[in-house]
Amino acid sequence: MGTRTVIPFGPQHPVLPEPIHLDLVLEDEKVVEAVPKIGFVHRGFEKLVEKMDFNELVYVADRICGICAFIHSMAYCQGVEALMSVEVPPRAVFLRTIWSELARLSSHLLWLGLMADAFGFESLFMQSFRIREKIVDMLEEMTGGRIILGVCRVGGVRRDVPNDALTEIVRRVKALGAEMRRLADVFLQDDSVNHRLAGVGVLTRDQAAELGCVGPMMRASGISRDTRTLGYAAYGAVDFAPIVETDGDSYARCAVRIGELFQSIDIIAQVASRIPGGEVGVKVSGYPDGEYHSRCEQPRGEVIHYVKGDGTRYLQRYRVRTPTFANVPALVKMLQGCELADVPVLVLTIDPCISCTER
Amino acid sequence: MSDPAVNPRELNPKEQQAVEEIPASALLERVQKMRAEGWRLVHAACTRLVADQEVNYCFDRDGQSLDSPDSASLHGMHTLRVRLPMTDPELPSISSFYWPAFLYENEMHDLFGITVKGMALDFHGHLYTTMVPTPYVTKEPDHGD
Amino acid sequence: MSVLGMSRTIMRNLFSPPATRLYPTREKEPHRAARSRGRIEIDIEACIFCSACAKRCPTDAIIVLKSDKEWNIDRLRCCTCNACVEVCPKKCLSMGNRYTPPTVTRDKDIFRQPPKLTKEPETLPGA
Repeated sequence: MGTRTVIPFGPQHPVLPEPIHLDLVLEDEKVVEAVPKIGFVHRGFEKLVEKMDFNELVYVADRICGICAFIHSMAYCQGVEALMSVEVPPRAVFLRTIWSELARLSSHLLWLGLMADAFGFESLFMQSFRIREKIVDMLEEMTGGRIILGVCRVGGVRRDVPNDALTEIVRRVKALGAEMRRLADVFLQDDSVNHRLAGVGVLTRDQAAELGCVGPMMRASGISRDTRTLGYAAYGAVDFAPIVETDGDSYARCAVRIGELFQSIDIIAQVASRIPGGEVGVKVSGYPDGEYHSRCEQPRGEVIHYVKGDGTRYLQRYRVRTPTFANVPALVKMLQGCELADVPVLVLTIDPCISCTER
Repeated sequence: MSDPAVNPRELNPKEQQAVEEIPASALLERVQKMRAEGWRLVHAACTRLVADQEVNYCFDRDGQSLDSPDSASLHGMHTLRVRLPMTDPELPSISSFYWPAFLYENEMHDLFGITVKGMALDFHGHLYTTMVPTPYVTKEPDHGD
Repeated sequence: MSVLGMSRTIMRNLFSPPATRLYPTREKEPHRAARSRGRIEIDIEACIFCSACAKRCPTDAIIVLKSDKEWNIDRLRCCTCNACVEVCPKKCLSMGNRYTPPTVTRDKDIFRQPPKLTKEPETLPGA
């Protein structure tokens, strides 16, 4: 029986994109127990419904997260539009889908870079970010913002992109696909990467279902569920199937996210080829009344925006349940019994977006 | 580039979402039944209304059980709603059936002041350390700084 | 399983210019995209001080004083959401694509409309 030591991990740590604190109880080099503590970036977003009316809350929704911002604002707008029975023009819906998929590409590339940094492969981290920079530049050309796009509003979108610009964007994204393939080959086939990822943090299919995992965590353990198959936005008009792996370890999760990169490129090409013409926004009058849970598939999993209105300008309740909130219990369970050097890999394998979690 | 056959009503379909109100005493029994039927817990949240508050537990099921290979048909969500009084609200914990529920229950305790008995992992009010305890209970005056 | 999978990329990077830029000595050329959110610009001559922009601003960054003919904006509060540009009835607000330069004090940018004198020859009616 070795001696037990308690090592604090975080909130400031080089591999963490956002602050989370873990108290790791160690016996020699093995982690026996991990007690998480969050709350370092709790900003109280949900209380802002008292001050800001339902149109202004779009700006708040955009700024919940610094990586996956656009899909939050899209989910919020979908929720309020469902409450007010607003019919969004088809061109706006297709544009929202293109921007969601570009945001997914930039988020997964960021995750790949951080993962490489977590196991010490700095040059791979830099290559991932170099490719990501080109995606983010494309978003800036289309909407004006790199991450926080600020283009969604209740009733449509605020900016239009001409069709020839869309064709050019699709061509550039496909050209990036070849560079991403080279990057993916290093992740999936390199020996040193394989040693750090294979067999680390295994979650069986039953465990993943029991712990309530969402997103790539769940799909890497063999459960085929993707919120995009519900057909929100323009996903009903697109052919795709959820990417599933069965091993349930960090390597499988990496493979799922890499597969989703190429799937996103394909979806962007399909949507851009079918985009209709027309206006991009309708005028919205009246106030929201009733309640609705709006669901979207973020890069990290399923996000729920719950909106409840009572017929006045101000919503009664606005609740965001982000995917990392659902994956944190899985992190707590996976950390039991792992090695100390694997802790950064495990924390990053759930793709933590702590600022989303705490709002 | 344009597809004239795209019907706006087929984009952005609205899900069917049902709400069921139950008293707090029937909560554990109902949740046990949901667990046996294969529902997964999606989230739990509290809303403060004018005269009382309500706690929503939202569940989702894939249409078929998890063992079925084709989970492509997804149904809408089912919500269990429990009404609580404004003063001294109390709830039993459902983390014996759904272990991840401890996170939602700790959050309800820290932000709204609801006492939840028997949580699997109890943070004793320190999940979110805020300057003001239970900050979502009081309505902030609108200060314009 | 390969061991030196990155070698091709490394060799290529050794013999090509850096992917990063020494900002702020060198800025991005061609300059930032036309639609980039930089900062709000105003053509103060055209402003009628209706305060529509101040009412729409979600962060309360804009203050309009009609009596003094003054329009000021707190650059650090502005989140470049473009709501004021869209709502202005005279279209005197626009989104410039260069960023606000960094600052150490929380000063507002104040724009005052100069009083319209009748000595200007172009604007004399009936001339």
